[in-house]
Amino acid sequence: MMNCTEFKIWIESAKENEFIHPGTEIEQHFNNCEKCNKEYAGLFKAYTFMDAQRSATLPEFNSNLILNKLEEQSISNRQLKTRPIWLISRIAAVVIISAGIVAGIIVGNILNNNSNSNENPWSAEFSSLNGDQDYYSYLFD
Amino acid sequence: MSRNIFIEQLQRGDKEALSVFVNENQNLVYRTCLAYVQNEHDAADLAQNVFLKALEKLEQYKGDSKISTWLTRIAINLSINFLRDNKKRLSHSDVDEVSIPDKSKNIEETKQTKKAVRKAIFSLPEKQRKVFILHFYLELSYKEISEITDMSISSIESLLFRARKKLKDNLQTFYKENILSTSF
Repeated sequence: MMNCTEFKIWIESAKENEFIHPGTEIEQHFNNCEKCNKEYAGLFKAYTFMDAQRSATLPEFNSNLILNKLEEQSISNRQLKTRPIWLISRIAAVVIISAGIVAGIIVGNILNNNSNSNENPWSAEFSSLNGDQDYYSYLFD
Repeated sequence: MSRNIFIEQLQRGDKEALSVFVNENQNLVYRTCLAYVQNEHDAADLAQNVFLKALEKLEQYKGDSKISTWLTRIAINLSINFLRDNKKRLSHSDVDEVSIPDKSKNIEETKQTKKAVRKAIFSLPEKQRKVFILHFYLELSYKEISEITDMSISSIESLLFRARKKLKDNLQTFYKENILSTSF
């Protein structure tokens, strides 16, 4: 049968799974030796507890909650993805229309300036009205 | 179904694909978070955040690793962030009494065990903790751990050896103050 020294040596080198499933010899000494039982009971309990944790499952309530949240998120993601396209197309339309208006104004001004530089058929008639000459003065002479 | 088609379905928000995505990976994600934060409520909330984050970052998933590997990385990162952001609260809070694995045993005793494990896990340096959790809690091989952590296998072996020793010493130290008696 194992003695306390051998038991302590085993404790020092044992890995987690060995605490969870100890051999018969270990169990026997542990159950029969009050001193070793008191000293190492916590260690065995801790590893058994950790073993239970690694078998833990997510509660169904939380699982359903996650699924609902993911569905909401994916709907939201799809909306976010289409929004920029909608926005960009409208901005593009405004820019194109504005550019067309500005271009129209510029072309109009150019054409207007060109027509002003041509000879005015009335220019000779009105050239006599320059300076101090009073057009109606002859009526009162 | 090929992985690419599955990812496309997830991106489209296909209900069935989302259901498979969650059901196949929820326990892995939950256990990762639970191992890190040592609290069932926090772990469940974190698990939810992991899946939401994964959906958000789905375009970044290249398909060069398994989906479970990718999810584990996200779970680890979010858990570490959670611990860092809640350091003060966690250091002062007591363990909760819900979800005790074995309800037939003494509740105070189980509470104490939970406290001991939490303290011991929290006291491990980050890399040791990561490797220990992946190896013990998720039962991953050294090769799988290496894929998740980008560490060499020799580093993993070394970290695991030190983690095991430190964990055991921490547990022993805790229990020296609280001697329990039990039998198998």
